[in-house]
Amino acid sequence: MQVSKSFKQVIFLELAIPVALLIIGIYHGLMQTIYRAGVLHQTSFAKLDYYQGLTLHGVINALVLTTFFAVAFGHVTMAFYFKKEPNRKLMWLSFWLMLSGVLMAAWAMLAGKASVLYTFYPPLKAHPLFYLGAALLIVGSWVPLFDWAVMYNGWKKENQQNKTPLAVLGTLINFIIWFVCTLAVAYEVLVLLIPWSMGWTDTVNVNLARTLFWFFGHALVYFWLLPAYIMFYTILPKIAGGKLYSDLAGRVALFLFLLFSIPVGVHHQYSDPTITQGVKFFHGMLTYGVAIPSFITAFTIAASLEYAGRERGSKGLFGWMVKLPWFDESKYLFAYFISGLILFVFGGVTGIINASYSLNNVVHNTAWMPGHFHMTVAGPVFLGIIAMSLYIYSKLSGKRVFLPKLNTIIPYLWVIGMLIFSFGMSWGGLRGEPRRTNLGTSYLNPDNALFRSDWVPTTLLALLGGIIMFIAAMMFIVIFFGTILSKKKEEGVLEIPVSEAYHDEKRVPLFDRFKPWLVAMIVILLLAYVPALLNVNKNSGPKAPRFNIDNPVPQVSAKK
Amino acid sequence: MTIDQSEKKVVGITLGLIGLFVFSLLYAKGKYKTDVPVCLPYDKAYTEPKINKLDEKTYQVFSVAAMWQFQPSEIYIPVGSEVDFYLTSKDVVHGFNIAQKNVNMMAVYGAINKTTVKFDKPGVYDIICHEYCGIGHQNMRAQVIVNYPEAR
Amino acid sequence: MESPNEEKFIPKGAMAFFILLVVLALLFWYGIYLLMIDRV
Repeated sequence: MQVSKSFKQVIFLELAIPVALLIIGIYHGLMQTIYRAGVLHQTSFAKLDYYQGLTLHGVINALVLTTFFAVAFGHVTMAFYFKKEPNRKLMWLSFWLMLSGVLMAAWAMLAGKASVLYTFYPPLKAHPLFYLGAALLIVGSWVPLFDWAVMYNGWKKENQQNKTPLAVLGTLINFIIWFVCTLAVAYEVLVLLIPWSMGWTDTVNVNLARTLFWFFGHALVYFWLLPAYIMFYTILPKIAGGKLYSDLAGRVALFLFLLFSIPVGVHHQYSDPTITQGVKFFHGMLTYGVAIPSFITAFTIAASLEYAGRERGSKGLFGWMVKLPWFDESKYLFAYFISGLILFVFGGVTGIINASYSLNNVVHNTAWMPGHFHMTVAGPVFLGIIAMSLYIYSKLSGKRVFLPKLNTIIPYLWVIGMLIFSFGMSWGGLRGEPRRTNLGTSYLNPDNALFRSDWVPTTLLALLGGIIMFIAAMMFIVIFFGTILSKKKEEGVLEIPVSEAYHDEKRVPLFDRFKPWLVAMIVILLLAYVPALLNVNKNSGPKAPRFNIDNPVPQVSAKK
Repeated sequence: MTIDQSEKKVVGITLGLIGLFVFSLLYAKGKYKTDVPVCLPYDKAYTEPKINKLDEKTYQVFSVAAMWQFQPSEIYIPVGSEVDFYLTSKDVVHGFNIAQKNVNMMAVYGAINKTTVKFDKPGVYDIICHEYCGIGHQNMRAQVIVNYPEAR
Repeated sequence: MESPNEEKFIPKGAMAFFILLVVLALLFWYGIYLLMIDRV
């Protein structure tokens, strides 16, 4: 499909800026493994302090990269399937809002005034521009949904008997989830935190802030994951040389995510006060519910790949796994996607453990936790984002991928690094190693009273994994920017591979309309969150004043 | 609506797996009392650090987390005792993790958390802060010393 | 050799993979479960 210069420019910026920021984001990922293994026994290195870097790492990799990509990939998907570009002004409005937010937050973080981590729990206070930046990033990302809804309604008028394309359904459901869940964090930031950090209000209810954040925080991970699922359902089967096993399975999975992505947030608060065991258990059960669409996906994608393998002549129960384009440089998306799926096996299984109520006591806030989530957000999500960013850019610009053979190896190197890293982190976590901690200054410093020799092997494994991943990521940066700097070889086009379905079931109206699901989503949300918020209200005591990261004495004046 | 046979089996197996997990969690809760922390309404009585000996084998610890220490920081307990830990924070959010005993709680300003542990084995148990709480976070550790003569 | 779309394709291999996935989940989950009980 031919697209306008404006479309190409805004998509280019939305893909390339986050990838460039990844240089900082991934640099500090490596640095953390270096500090934590006790290679450094200091609080900062090269003018960046550990917790400042940790904040940059989380914000860049898990908020900026993911949000910009979801928006860009959404524009690309909607445009390609509907053969119509989204509204030009709104595309640019969304971009400028998001970019302004990023610049504000980046200033605050780099100036050392927002070392509060990407969860920014009060009453640890950041500079108001950090919170404002976050709010702008979110509001900017709301804009596309409304434009796409208009595009969708227009398409529906002409296509009443046709199924909504699966990729379109996924995009719309993903952004509906995003819009609903971000309302809570937007309220937290705009109503609770900014006035408090500016000194207009003196205190904040920390329990309420946390509960609102986690209303947002779990659905956030599905906002990350669903674009990757769209790739797995609608692009991967085609690239692998097969068909999507069941189109309907994809739709059922997407609607289940719509229902269960948000009303589960309290599973991040199992260890919190003010919320009752009953509400926590209920959220745990709902979380098991949200695991179901992932199991459906695992099987459906496996069946699709089995179909592809058998098309290529594979025999036996598992022969199909071998007969897939693992190292075919012209089908590099396969390498990235399959690597993400391999990691997600472990990421998903450890996620179910985390969700399992009392089992959470064993793992919460230990190194196990980043061990888990690097196999999800830094697994299929990250690999899908960078692969599709490269793919979309190369198609839109008419440039060939730089160093295509190396490109195909990167995801496998990443998998090896990640498995070593996550094994070290998980093992360390089970030995009590905390997350979010500069271990090098104390627990991994042999001269310190707190030294823990049993965390030496575990942090060394994480370091080894971190180094391998850093190398893989830097290779990708070279390939991405090498592609940008290379010469245009053909006309730039908007093109995404589209998989056919093996079971291309007839349109089922229930799985092709939003209203009943939106109603159900809201009902479940109310059942899950009204009790939680009532708990918080009933059991909370005094509200908290402002605290800076370096001072136990609260800040009473309105100094920034 | 025709749902593929294999997909139906997959959903069935998944539900079975979930059922197994739920049963196991409830069984452990009944038999071993494994559970998430107990919810208490706020009471400022718990904001002063204290160790209360209720009897020979029953203790209460009012633990107050602050930047960057737990008070009390050294808690001596006879082996075989049951201890109720009550937890709050004087400032930012802190973590409270006794890894070898499934104790995992968040210390939050304006809220009281609680869990109960039985210390069957002597030893020194670290209480580690595992939530970032500012520049002193990596030094924030207390200890429960259970009949461990060498540590005295 | 007929290709899969000429005779009905039954994803036996995918089902076998799925069962193995479930077994892995059981192993990891009960591993942590038993660890939790051990620490009571």
